[in-house]
Amino acid sequence: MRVLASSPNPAMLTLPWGRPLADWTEHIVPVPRGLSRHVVRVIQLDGVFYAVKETQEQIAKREYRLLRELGRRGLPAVTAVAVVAERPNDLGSALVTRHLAFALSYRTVFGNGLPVGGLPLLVDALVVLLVRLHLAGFYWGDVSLSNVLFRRSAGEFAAYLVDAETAELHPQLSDRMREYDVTVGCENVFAELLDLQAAEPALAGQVDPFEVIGSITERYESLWHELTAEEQFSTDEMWRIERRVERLGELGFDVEELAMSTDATGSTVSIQPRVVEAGHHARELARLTGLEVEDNQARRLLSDLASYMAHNGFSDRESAAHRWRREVYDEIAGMAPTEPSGRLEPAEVFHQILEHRWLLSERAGREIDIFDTARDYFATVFGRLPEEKLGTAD
Amino acid sequence: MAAIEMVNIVKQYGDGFPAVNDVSIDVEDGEFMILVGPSGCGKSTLLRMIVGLEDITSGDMVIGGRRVNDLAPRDRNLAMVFQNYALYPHLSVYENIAFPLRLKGGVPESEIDAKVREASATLELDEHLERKPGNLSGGQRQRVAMGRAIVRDADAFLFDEPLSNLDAKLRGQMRTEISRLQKRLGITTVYVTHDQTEAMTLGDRVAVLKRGLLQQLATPRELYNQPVNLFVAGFIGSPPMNFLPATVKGTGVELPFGTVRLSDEKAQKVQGKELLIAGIRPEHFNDAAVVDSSIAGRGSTFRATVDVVEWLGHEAYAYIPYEAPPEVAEQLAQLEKDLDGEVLRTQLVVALDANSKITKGEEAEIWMDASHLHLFDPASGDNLTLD
Repeated sequence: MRVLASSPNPAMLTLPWGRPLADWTEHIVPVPRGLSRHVVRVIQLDGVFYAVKETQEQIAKREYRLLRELGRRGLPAVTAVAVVAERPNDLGSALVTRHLAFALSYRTVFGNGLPVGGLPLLVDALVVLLVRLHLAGFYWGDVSLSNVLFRRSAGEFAAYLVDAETAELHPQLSDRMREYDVTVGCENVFAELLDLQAAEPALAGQVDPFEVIGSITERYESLWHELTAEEQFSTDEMWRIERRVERLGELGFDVEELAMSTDATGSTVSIQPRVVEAGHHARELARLTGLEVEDNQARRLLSDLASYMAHNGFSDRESAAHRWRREVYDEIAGMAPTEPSGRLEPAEVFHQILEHRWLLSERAGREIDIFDTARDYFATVFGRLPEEKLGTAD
Repeated sequence: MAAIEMVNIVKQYGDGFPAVNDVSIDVEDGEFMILVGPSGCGKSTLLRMIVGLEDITSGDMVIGGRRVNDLAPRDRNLAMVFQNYALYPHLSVYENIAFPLRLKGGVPESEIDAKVREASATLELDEHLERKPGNLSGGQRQRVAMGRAIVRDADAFLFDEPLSNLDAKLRGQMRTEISRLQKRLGITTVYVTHDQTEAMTLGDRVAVLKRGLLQQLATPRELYNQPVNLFVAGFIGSPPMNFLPATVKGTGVELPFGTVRLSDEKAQKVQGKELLIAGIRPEHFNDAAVVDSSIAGRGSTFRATVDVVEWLGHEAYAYIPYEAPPEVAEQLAQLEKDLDGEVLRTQLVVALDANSKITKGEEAEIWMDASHLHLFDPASGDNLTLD
């Protein structure tokens, strides 16, 4: 047996590699899943969750490298940890990826009672992921809800790629390849929604698969346009440069490189973002507080930080952020019941407390203190939430 | 149904590298065409130009008499078979096949039903239609995926290395299924693979590519018996053709194991040449002790020490090392690189009759049928002795 691993974990070698994955009983964590070509299982080893996929060695190695490359470029994908080849008894190779904490499959999201109205949020997350991958020259080949995991992000979702088997990385992606990815994505999502409706008849009358795939195309084209389109204006409208950069910031993207040119007369300016990077709010929050969270969670926390500053009369953002982290965020995180720990991740809990405060304040007709809100939230809401961390479910 | 004509197709990337260089292939209506070659040969790029995923730098892509260079993939009416292998566990096999038609919107239920039933009959899935796909065998699952392509009523089927991620058993099974399906439907098919066995068993014709250039376009039999150059000769056939240094001496050639006489025709073709590369397939050798007397006379024999013998039941392979002069060794090393590292060490692979008693380490008398000997120019790689 040969193991190619990024960070060797000796326990990995103790797994029953001499038996087909489908026959494993130990370490297996039950998760809802579809029917894939390969046998895929989620396992728990020393408290860490991994997904194991049985496949051919060349394919496993290729996917391992692609996922590692996505990780290096900071793109949202699961982390590949190992390829196990030359298993005993002539068994196929296996690709091992680290399971994302607090990540949900679309089946689980609906199983956990996401209202149907939440479907566009998943679609949005999928589209943002696809656009980010395409900007990086990544052709997916098999865009689908099954091939991503979702993490909650302050009322929205962030999507992570989990399957790169058909994917390719190019210096740049042609329009046709992008379009094809979107077409394939629409076909796959359409079938996945039919399947979901068959599984959960309650959804049948409420979801229109045609509407959903229509919105995939529309949302994709609109985001792609916002991020890459060339814009022309006269030289006395230079404020439009700043507006464009701000707009991209609102969408969660930073402009790393902007191409500018003027026409021969010098009266018209063209601008086009060349390199944009997602994670505008997450980077800002991490710089100020050291917290690493999803972008929309960061947006939410930054806005709380802004009201904290105004409320306490701070003018220096850095020192305010420092105190906010210590006196508000960490304090509240410390109030969360320690058991069970798997309900929601801390940033998402904080977001929910902010939502809860809004509800309580509206009901009371006055602003409710954040710590009072947190006490009420942990006492009345938190305990009823479904478990969302693997291995903590019943 | 439609013919696919590729006329002087060139694909050049930004760095100027031609991934496909002036390739012309005509796929006849209903024909099963294979594009084969090692990685980087341009076969997948070519398929993508047919699908419409890659822009064509120059040349014409004509499908069903219509130039499609500027058409988007969705406007070409082609089906990428196995693009979506996923089976949906809560949908019946029927619905797993029908969904591409439902996606079109507005297709009458009667038409959907007719198409699904026709596809399931072709694929022998009738008795499973109402079941959920969870309990289908691996082969049946693949057939459901094929059903999705069939109901689309496409002008042609395209396959991009469809079997590479299956285990060996299922791979063999699916090869037969695909071949049967294509014959039944009589649909124009372009199939990309790096596996010469798939190419030889599936294709009506096979286009062999190397570094963007079409090497030979021919039937499997012709590729096997009349390879135009060293690359095709080395690529097609398993175990591969043997390549030996050969020095022309009058009407014969001197090989590491002795001199063989050439037919007048072949001798004529290599007249004036000196050092060549001889190519001869393993099955044109045998243990001299067991050769059928009716054919023994058309070959010659030589003695050599056998390094290793592999006995496979129906036949055996003997390995006999030899020395090659630098010119030949260099060309063979290059060939090995071109073939993606397919091992072409300087050893002769000889197929022996299963009754042969030759054992490893033994000096044996080997028979060779020189009428099947090819002679290649070591500089250009061209086959000098084509019929």
